[in-house]
Amino acid sequence: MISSVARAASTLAGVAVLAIVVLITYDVAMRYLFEQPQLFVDEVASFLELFVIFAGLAYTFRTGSHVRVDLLTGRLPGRARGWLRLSGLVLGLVFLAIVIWTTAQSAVTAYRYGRVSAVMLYPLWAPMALIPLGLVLLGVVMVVALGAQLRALRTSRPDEVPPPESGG
Amino acid sequence: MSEALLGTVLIAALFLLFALGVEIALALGIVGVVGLLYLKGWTIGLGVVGSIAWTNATSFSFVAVPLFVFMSGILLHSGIGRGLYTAVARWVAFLPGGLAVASIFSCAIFAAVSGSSVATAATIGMIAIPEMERRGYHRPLICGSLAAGGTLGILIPPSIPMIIYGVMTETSIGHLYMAGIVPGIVLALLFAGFVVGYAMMWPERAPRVAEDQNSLLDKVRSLYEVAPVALLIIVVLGSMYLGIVTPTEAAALGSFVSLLLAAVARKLTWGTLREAFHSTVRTTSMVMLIIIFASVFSHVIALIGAPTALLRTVVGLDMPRWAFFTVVFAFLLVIAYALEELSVMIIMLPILFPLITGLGFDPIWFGIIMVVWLEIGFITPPVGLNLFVIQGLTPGATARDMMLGTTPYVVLMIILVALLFVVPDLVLWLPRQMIGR
Repeated sequence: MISSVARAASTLAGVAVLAIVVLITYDVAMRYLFEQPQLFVDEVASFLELFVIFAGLAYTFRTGSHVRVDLLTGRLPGRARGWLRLSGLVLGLVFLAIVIWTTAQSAVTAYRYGRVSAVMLYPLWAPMALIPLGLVLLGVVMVVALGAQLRALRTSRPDEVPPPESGG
Repeated sequence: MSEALLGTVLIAALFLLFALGVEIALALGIVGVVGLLYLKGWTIGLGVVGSIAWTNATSFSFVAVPLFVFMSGILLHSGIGRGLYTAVARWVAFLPGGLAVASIFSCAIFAAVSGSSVATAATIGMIAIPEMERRGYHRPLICGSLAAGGTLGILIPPSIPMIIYGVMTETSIGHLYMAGIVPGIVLALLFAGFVVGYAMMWPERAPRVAEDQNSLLDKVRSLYEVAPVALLIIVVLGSMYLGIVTPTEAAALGSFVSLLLAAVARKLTWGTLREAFHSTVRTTSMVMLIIIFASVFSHVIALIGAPTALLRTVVGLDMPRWAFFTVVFAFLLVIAYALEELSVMIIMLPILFPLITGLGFDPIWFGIIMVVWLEIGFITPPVGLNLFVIQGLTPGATARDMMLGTTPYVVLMIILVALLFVVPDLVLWLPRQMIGR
């Protein structure tokens, strides 16, 4: 279930990249050939970029693509490595909760005061809300990883649980 | 707590979290947030996190990052690499080690449309490796020429690391691109010179291709196979230097034309597209999350005043420039052993950049030095990304083949750094022509 949600969000983020390509090409063509710059493109492309980053976080985590250092942990016994991973996930989740809280606050404030973008006057609360939303999705897949890690520690040969989806 | 002590504690905590295997991005964020809470309290301190995340995530210059990764993903299976390699091989096959020279020059040319080292190595490697294997080339020669050749992808513009460096240090991306051209060509020639020398020493390790199958007519004819690459170079670099588009727009145009080229070659399948989507999103999310939380961390470090304090200390040491530079570079080489290099650059820049420029080094020059350093990191174990790519593409290649193959190129890159230190104009002359206008 969470696997397909994370993957779907990533595919959607990929479509957003394609949209950026088309929008900017359109803007350049209109500006260069017809002298009609499309002012909305820069702002929309920036918001799409933000979407790409935050919608992709969860799937990136599930593929194990967030860079980590395994030079030292790789040499530990499995049980110790498993417990370290567990503590790392707990610490990461606490941190994530704080960041979700503060970025959600910013979005709510932007909504309440009707903050808008500089050029096209788009309401800013919507793109701002994407930040905590993407982080919540990341938090959910991290909780799932935490559960798997807890279960692995109760088995006879405890070790760090590898990322559920690699590659592809 | 005194400021120096606080700074030391935070940096120590950061490295502890790295060592314990916490994701680099999260470790930076954790230490950054703890520092902010300690210095500024809950309300003011945390507000900064949101605004830093917003500023970085919506920076128009950073939009070029996913665009270049996406473009690489499309070009990888588009057949464009095959045409390029075949044509270049026809022209340089007469040289000793001709096919390996062709690998290096193909990488150098492809680098002018690619912003990534790994993508360049993969695109050319996919074609060149089977070709050289078939001719009985020595395996370390195959692996070395492609792993090292691929790194030209980030020195010859466009370049994803230059975009990141440019935004983080507020240096012009256009000037950085310009500055990479001459060092890129010099490095490609150094690589090729090494291959020729190597093949003359051990001719049996690089069997000659029969000369007669390559008439001048064939050579000229082969040029049309390079047309798609030439078109892309004009779109990506030409449009920018004619002043028509910004670096980000050039990346979008390049992606668009790549899609067209792949479609015309009937290589644009849903599978290719989906693969390009996911690899783009993975790289973008990973890199940008590190950039965001590294900015939070460096905000804290700047609040403490660490960069200025460090600069004052170093100036007080009264070291000669070359000694200072050697120490910094050696330090970078060591630290790159444990961490992935691009992350190191992002983490170190906020501290290193004020220090380096404060001592009178040129920001553009230092950007190029950082890129060459990244290139070294990409082909040195244990986390050299190009090594993984090329080893994956070469059936039966061992870690030893990779080590043997790449070590000479590491030496050549260090020679280049020394050369750039002695003759900074190799970097600065070309961008100066542009600024002058």
